[in-house]
Amino acid sequence: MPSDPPFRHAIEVADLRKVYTTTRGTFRRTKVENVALAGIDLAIAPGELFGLLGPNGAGKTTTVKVLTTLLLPTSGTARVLGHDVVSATGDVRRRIGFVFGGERGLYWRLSGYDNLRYFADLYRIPPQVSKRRIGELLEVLGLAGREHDKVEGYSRGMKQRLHLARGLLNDPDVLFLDEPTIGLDPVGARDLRVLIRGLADHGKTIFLTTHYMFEADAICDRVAVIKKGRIVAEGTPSSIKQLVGDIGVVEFEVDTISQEDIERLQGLDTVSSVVVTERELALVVTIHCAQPAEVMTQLGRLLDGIAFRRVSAREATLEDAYVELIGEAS
Amino acid sequence: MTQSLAAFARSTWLQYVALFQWATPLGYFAYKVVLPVTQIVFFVQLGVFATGPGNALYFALGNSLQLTANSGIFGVIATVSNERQYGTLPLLLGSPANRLLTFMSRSFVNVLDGIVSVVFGLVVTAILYGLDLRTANLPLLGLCIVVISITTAGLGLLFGSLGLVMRDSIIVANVVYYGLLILCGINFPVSRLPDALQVVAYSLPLTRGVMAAREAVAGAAFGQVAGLLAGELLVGAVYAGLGYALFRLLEGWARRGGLQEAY
Repeated sequence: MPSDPPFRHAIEVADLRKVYTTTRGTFRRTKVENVALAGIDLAIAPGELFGLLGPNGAGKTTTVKVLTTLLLPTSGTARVLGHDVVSATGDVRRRIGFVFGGERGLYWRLSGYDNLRYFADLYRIPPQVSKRRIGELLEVLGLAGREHDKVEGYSRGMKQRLHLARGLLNDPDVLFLDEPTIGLDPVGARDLRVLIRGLADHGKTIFLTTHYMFEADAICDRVAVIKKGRIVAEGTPSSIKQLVGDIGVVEFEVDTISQEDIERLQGLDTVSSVVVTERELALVVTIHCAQPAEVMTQLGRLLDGIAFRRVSAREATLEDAYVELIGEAS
Repeated sequence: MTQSLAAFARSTWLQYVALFQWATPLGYFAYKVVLPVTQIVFFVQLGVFATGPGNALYFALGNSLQLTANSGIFGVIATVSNERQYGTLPLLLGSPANRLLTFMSRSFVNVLDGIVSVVFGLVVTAILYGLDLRTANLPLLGLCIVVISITTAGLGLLFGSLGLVMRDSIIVANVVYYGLLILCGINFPVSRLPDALQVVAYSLPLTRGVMAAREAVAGAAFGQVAGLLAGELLVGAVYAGLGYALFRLLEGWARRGGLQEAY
């Protein structure tokens, strides 16, 4: 096996750009350029669990595709374990695993065991090694006992765990997980998060994309927030929360609230944003502000005549910081 | 070596079962028995209606031999397009697997399938239309069947590569399949085609192989059809080589455009 070139970072990205060119129109076609990555820089240490956060279309999956050799960048460089993802694809592919969220990407007519055996052959893993490793992965991922059932009969959670088993077959040094818990029930998602954290604790470098902020907060060592192809913040989850200043959150429930009431709340000096979301039979109003206690005292005056309940104040979560950052960056 | 062969055989079988809906007893019966019989009967009845009952065997034999394209064209093209449909194409392209071996294993199983299809077609022709193989050069006929199964898979490889960048490459499979049906001497001799189309016919696989197979059924010796078979193999090899080159070219194109997941 060829040795790796010297590297400090398991993943190193410098001024990475990706521009997709598509066409518009049927007869009179015009070229349209869509900037997916507008020059990003990343440096991820070996053994780190790194989260890339961002809304849909921000560039998360594009970044993963470039780093897993599936997509060529327009310009810039990206290295995994010191190997260039454009020119040294074979070296990169042997050392990485990747898992995309969702139910596609498995052979549904095959059993879980046969899926793993097929991919083990593709990765040229010797039979005695693959047999042992498949057994271990099935056990660890809770698929033992169902491994000879066809995948078409698996629950979504089982399919996702099978994806992860497939991604780990070649015992990769770097694992890319693109929204791995998407669509999973809360228990399945939590179990998978525990597994992912465990892998990082065992020395694997993990590059995770998600738009579940609590997930990133719970398991990532470091995160970066990407918006419209640019990194707008990077650091530990705690440092990201601090980036948005001394922000707190006031939340309460109402049956109804007018646009004028929302604008009145937004008019307070200490308030940076007001978000209204539907939750079951009520509307939840979330106010991001600098002095939550003071805002709470003014609610009665500002929302005169409105019955509000379950008023609470709390410290900002990563999600609150994310909402601030994404709003600021727009 | 033994391990590599075992892995090759295993992955060939697993991808066949994984990708093809006919890889079940009922599916196989529908796709590989009912459909071919229908094709043979349809073209024989049409041919008999147009030219008289004396030519029934000509149509039946031609359509039996053309059944190899069912596997060599549809099968090989579907190996890539089905990967795209199931979302497994990025996993395949992102693996360190040897592209040539992967490609070969995918074609190999379709070559075997093509041979079985033609043998089945000949049995149907014997039962329904009284094909008499007692005077035929059976080893030579067997060789012709193997050769046309390989060469049609070669053409399938070329068009299968399009599946890397095309969402609906199975449409291409239909066009190629029916093109072979028209051009390769299946339902009428190539000599009846306009000159330009004869040039096209001789640049396609199947044309010379079907001629050789008809000769073998008539009892010809190997020496009489060796040139046809050599030409057939050469045409198939050219298409297979072009197919592999196109696969690598389009793999790069798919990497530039991120097209592997469009379905």
